[in-house]
Amino acid sequence: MNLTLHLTDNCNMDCSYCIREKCPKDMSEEVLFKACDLAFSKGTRAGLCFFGGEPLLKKELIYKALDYCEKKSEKTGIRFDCKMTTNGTLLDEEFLDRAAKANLGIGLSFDGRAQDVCRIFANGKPTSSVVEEKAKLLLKYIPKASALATIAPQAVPYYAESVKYLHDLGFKNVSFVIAYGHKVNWTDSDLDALRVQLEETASYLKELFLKKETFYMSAIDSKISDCIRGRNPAERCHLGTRQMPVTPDGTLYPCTSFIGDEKYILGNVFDGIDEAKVIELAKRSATPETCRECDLVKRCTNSCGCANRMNTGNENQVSPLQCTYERMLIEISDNLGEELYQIDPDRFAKEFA
Amino acid sequence: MKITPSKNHKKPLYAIGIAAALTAAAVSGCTNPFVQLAGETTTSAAPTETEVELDGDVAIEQTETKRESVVETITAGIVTITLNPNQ
Repeated sequence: MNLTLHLTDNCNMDCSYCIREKCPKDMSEEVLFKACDLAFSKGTRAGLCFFGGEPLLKKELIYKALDYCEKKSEKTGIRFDCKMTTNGTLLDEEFLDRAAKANLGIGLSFDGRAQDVCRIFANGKPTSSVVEEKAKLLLKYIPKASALATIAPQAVPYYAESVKYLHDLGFKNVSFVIAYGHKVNWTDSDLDALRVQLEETASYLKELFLKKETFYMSAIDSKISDCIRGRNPAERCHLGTRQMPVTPDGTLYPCTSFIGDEKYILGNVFDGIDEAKVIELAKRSATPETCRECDLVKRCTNSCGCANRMNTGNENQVSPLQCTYERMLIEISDNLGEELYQIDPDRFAKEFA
Repeated sequence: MKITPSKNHKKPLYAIGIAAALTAAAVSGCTNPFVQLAGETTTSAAPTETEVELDGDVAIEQTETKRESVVETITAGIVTITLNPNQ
């Protein structure tokens, strides 16, 4: 099974949209190894995602987990895969060398040109120049690394420029999501501005397509490829079944945004998973009432319990923000898809099917 | 901003075109395993190495599984649909 390990609740940055509360709570080795055992205990594959706070504050735990799981994989024959989401500021060559050997997938939280708008060090200093250098180093060791940008309202004017910047830095895979939760306040005019930025981004993606450059921009490209493949992005939400977060003290929750809410505790790494609670949660999960008659119900993320909870407090209730954003994204993605398909259907199939 | 259920939304032509290509490839007797699996969710299942999601991002789902052979099959039977400029 897959687990997200919150190695620490501490972070060396203070991002304006972050909903996690920083505190000096670290995972013990005992919890770490129990979590590794749990990942190997169910299913035919074991997966870990190192997360935090900032996971690189606990580098030694990552090394220990990798050593332990690699040995366990060899012994049991169970495949082991690992990833990490990091702010990148603490990356170094020694770590990247080990990461490359372990085939650790790394997602660099990097807002591109908007980096200093929301993502600053805990001491208030800007992070962009540090993270840009670390991004170059990361790509040297792990060329397939992804950049993960979170766009808050104040960063919207930099959206399209940031996509270009991250591409020019050498990222082949970038993810852009909008910031949700109580720390951000989206207005209609922000969304109007976002539409302009998304359209500019679509034009840029068309430009790259014409140049035959492979570049995956998740927000738009996933809407096109999911539509072709008939995949329902709402089904990506598997609260408590696909990938459980593990807090520093070993408690299991359905998803990161539920951490701290005792009603949603699904067990712990010592006693295992409370299967009855997982089933109960799955039974409660439903397509939001407001979305059932919508033609786009299978094309948007209306059932993402995590986003719904952040926006409305209820995992089964979609917010006006998400609905407006998703409709906009689908419209712009489909317009781009039609254009690219007409330009070169063969290449379009290569890129998106 | 408000919740507005979308009505009369048509499936994009690009998706219809690719689906038609897949059908054409299947009818032509192509034995590529991808065609046999078309329409099943397993065809788009991510390989193991991408199954662990990066936390903080739920959108990374791209798969590279046997993409080349898949594409060969699709492009072999590609059907181009011309957009009606009045649409």
